[in-house]
Amino acid sequence: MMRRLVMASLFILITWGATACGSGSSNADGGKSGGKVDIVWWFPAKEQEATMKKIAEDFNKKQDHINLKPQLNAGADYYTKLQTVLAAKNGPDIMWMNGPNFPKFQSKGFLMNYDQKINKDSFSMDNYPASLVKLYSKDGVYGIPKDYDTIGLFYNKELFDKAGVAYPTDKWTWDDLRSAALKLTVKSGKTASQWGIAANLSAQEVVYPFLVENGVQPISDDRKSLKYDTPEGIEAVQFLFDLMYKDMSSPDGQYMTDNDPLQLFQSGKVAMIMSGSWMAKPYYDALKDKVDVQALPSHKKSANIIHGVAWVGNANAKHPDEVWEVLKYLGSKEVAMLQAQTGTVIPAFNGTQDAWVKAMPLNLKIFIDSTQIAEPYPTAFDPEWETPVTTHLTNIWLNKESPADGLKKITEEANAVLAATK
Amino acid sequence: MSLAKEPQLVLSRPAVKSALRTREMLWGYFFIGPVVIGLLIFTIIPIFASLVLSFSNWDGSSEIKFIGLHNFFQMFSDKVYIKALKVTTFYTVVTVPITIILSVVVAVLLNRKMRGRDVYRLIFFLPSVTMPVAIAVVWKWMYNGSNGLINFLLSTVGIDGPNWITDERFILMSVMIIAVWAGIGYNMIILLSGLQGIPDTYYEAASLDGATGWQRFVNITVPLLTPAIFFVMVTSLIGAFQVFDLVFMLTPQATGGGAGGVLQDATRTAVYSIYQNGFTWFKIGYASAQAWVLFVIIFLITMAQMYLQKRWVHYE
Repeated sequence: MMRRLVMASLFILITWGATACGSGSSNADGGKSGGKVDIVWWFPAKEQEATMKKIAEDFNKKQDHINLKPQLNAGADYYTKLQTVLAAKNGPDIMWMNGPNFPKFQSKGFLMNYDQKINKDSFSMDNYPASLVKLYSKDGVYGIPKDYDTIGLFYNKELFDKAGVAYPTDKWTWDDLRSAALKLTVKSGKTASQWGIAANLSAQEVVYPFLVENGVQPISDDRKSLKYDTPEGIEAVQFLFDLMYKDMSSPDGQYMTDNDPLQLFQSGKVAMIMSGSWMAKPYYDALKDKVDVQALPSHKKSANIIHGVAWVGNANAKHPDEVWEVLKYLGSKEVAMLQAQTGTVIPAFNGTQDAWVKAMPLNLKIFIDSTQIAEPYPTAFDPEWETPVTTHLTNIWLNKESPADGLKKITEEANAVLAATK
Repeated sequence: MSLAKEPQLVLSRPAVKSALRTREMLWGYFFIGPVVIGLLIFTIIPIFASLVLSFSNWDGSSEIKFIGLHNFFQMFSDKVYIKALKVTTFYTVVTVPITIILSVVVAVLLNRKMRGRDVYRLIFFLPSVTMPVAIAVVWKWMYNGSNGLINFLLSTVGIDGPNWITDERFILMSVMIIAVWAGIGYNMIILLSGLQGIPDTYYEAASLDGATGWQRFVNITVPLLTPAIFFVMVTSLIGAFQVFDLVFMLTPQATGGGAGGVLQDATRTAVYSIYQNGFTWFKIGYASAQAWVLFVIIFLITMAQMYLQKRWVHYE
């Protein structure tokens, strides 16, 4: 306990010191080694370290004036650390960025605007899904999309066969999902021993996709308001709520808090689950040929949620031209192909996704097709807007608030936070 | 003798051994240097930095803007923080007395000569040297509402157990049970050493006078153990007011940054609130202010204890 406080004060000290003596200190981004310009590159994903190192190696062999240095910065405090060094006008030249954190970093002026460079080199942003480019744009383009993820409906073929239910198709509606889930639920006495579906409390994988399929935007275009308490919004969440508390075809919120729904699916206790494309490999590793995936069932329309990581540049980089040269390489088809072969991420470069699709014998194509109908993951400047969302969604899932009440509170409280942001 | 010699020594030192003394002094500073520097960098300076920041609305990166006492006023209209203080107080008031009473009982029982005494002592002390993460993982498994060990045992005697950590009415109690269980061991060690410091002669004299075991416990053991109990009480209270790790690990984390909902409202403690404001929302200034208010509360309570000890702590 004491240690936590000490850690907290340590962090305060470091960041405070960093701000106070800001521009005076020099960092690796200005360094030169053997006539070459050093470009420092940060990423937090340990499982991708080998690929990143390979990319840097290839790049350093191709040319003779830049020395690209990849640095793994794993851990939950990646964005805290990044914010601290960037505030001190130091830090890496190129870094990994996700959607929820982008608006904050961009609005503080930490990130490099690519517009001029894109125009000068006639670099084409059409190579990437438009929604991803939009996710990292404000008054211009700030990110080169690296990879992306969309959501799919994973299902256990063995359980479908046993219950004699036809596999999901891309024509499925919410009603089809609901009736199949009921048929796939096996009850022994009062409690279920197998559920048709796990309506996992995941905003990205379950709640937001259902909202957009019912025509509700996760956040307004100017990122300043949301409208979850419309009849359409309430209908979407009520549908998920009913799976748990009316049909009982999904474990309820309390059960899924005690028992990880992803593991329930992997152990064959749940027949269907909505998960992101990054779960394809873990599910395949656990269930092998018993698992497959289908596009999300539609309602008012077919829709999906897309999120992806992008490479952003440091606005205070000492060698912006060299940084841009590296960024162009990171956004190239060559690098995308290299990443696809790892099987863990869908590369963002259009046309390179096939390599990923072929990495496993699943219907992975649906993740690629879904980008056409996907809305970007909602983000805003102040990360606190998500607090009322998670708070009241948790209460709805635990059956402490009705979907209508909970969504009304989310809308009021989140809009108050959003309205206060610049 | 020695007292009489003292002034002489002081007078002679600088004159006779000045070079040696300077060297010794330098070496002395050299040896304590790392600790002093560490203490300065990791404790003293951050403490004052957080005091300064508590008057600002700093977000961790932009310019520091001082806003006077605003953070402190805001705190007392912040329902979430008030609730956190209430939860912390309730947690302290319940866990500290229970832990101390049980620790005394365990210490007295394990102070007798008995077979396997060291094994029992080890068992009770183990939680104190186990990583909090491991403790939380194992208890989470036992608390599982549908297939956990506790509800299984309850079901064998026909009781339908509650959802220990997913029901907002039970989750704080579940945390407190772990805190008591984990707190006994360390207190027991302190109390055991206190018990072993009580001279046997008192017990022998009392036995000769015909005192029963209970009378000896109440009239000899307890009064002479009060200094140890006092120490345990002061440290337990401070620890209880700063509870964080157990709560952090037992409260389910929701997706999208920071857990939420009724479960978190039921278990958010003062330090959890500091953590959330500082590291989830980057309200460093507000978090610092909360930390200082917590410090003042703990300080006042400890001072009150120091004052009140005269009435019940017996030093030999």
